[in-house]
Amino acid sequence: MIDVRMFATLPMRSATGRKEFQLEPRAGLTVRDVIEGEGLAKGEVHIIMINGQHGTLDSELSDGDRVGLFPPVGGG
Amino acid sequence: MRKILRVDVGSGTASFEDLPPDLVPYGGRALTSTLIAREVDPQADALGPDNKIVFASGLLAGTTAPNSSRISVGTKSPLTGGIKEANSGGQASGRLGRLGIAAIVVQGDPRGKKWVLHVSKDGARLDDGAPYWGKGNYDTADALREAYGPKVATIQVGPAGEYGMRNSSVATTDPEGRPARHAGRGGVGAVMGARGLKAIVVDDAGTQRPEIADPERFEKARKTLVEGLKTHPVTSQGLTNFGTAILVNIINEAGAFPTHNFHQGRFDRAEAISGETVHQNCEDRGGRRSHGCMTSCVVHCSNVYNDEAGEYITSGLEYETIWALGANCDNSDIDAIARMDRLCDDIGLDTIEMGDTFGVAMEGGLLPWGDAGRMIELFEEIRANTELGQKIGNGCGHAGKVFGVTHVPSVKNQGMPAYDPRGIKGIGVTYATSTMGADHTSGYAVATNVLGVGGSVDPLKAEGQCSLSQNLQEATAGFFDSTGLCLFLAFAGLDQPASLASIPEMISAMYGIESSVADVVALGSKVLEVERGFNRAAGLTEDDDRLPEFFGNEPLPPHNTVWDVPAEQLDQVCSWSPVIELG
Repeated sequence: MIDVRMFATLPMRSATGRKEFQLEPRAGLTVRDVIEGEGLAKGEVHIIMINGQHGTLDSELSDGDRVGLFPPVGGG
Repeated sequence: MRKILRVDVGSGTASFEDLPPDLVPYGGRALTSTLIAREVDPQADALGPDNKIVFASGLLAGTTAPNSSRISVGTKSPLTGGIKEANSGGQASGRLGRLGIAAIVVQGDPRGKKWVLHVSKDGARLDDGAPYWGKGNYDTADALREAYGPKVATIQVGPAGEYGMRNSSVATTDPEGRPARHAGRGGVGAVMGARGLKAIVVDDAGTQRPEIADPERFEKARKTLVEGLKTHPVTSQGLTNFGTAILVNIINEAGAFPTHNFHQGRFDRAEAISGETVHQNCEDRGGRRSHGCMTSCVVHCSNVYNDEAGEYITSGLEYETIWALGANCDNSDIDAIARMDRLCDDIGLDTIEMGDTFGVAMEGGLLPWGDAGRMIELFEEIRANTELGQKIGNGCGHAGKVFGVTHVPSVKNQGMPAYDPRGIKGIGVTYATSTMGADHTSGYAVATNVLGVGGSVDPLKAEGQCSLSQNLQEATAGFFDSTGLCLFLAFAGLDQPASLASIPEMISAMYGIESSVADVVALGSKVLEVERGFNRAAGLTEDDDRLPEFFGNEPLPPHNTVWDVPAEQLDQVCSWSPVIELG
């Protein structure tokens, strides 16, 4: 399975409102597919983390991946 | 003409003098560091009679510029043994700007006397501070308002500073009068306490905003910056809605959230202490989110945090504090963290140093991991200055020695903030090479390593981190720490050239000079050079620009990386040049 977590404002802005869910892995599944599946508008997701490292919209996901999606965030 | 207010706690006198001509375009850190380097012997005992403490307002203090009321507190640090500038928000700096005061220099041997400095349009005087000595910061702020009027802003020390503890902060009051904003780092409170100075009361009644040489030009630049801040998603949405604690989840996800005294990079209960949780509790309990720590703020990253019954606990519950007293100590009780934040603010302790100290003390067996109840009890030991309180009130380095722990996350004896340098190597370079000791604000490479602001440099690789950190350290010293502008403006400034350029433009308009982006960076570079010169003369060397050994030996889960930025590259950041002529 693929673990997906949506942070900060993203669950409020998605069509499903989900914060955390799992996806069945399938060939060619990309981060873009996940974002579109949640009904998020283009540009809402600013930071993509896959297993703790930066990914892109085109990154392909495989079984066991942990995906974190973030809007623009900052602080310190 | 901005002035220096010179206060001698030995003779009990306060007098105004002109800024030296070469320091007229200096504010904040540029002013504190230059004055300390000129006037304090680098070899002086930081808590002895020859050290001084300087409180400087920013170059734009008191104007309509957004987020322009940071106050810089400069001295020789009793924690690091080097030069120190710690800055804070709150109301005081803006008021000093309206009073035309660029800096307050406090010097002399109080010989047991206790003072309160009162500053207003009518001048400055030292009053008896004995009635306030021994009080916590909240009671002190209340008592000072009762004595001097409801609208004064105050700068003060708590019991930890009075005792000379090396973890002690200088508090400033926020727009509601709460002493919740702190120049926390480096033990600056102990130096103020050693001068016998309990508080500075700043009363700006009857004053005007400072004069602007070219108001039209100033207003145009100001509008550009405000527009930039209100459109950049970090400064208009992320920080505004969730506060700085929005970082908990992303730094945890990046695997660089120091957990269990820097043994792990992820905390399995991060959600319980996340910005999202804090946000929800503020909403549900009648607290506030989107709170400003100063009236000129347009970002509003602060909050007001209440308990379940709706009673006020603390304000400005921030990422660093939540990490330090939370994940670093295996504690996921967010309400207990809020209570400890209040205790730190009241006793006058730096929350980062305190969390690092607890982590070390837990490793040494003083208390069980995650025991928030015992942590809260131990704060009262510090407040009462017991032997146990002294063991944990002097920073994590001291605690490491007392409890026989070598796993101490510090540089130059100052505890590390909330990013593990093995998982975010750019910030590791800043920790190692900053003149301040382990400090995240002096070159916030996290922005570029993780947050996708100001470009992108892979956080797990050594390549590119030194130049990233050096550029950020120079820019930070120039654009933010020396102007009195909030560092969070950098999130907009790094992505929006017009926002960055508006800063020298406002300075030019205000002072009738011509300052450019390059000039401000050059000033930042010069400030660092002065600070390095002081540190060198104080006895710090290249060996002090290193991270503790364990970072190079112990892989950090989940990425299992070690600290591997070569020492010779670190030395290029600092360019350990010969001691420069000071003054």
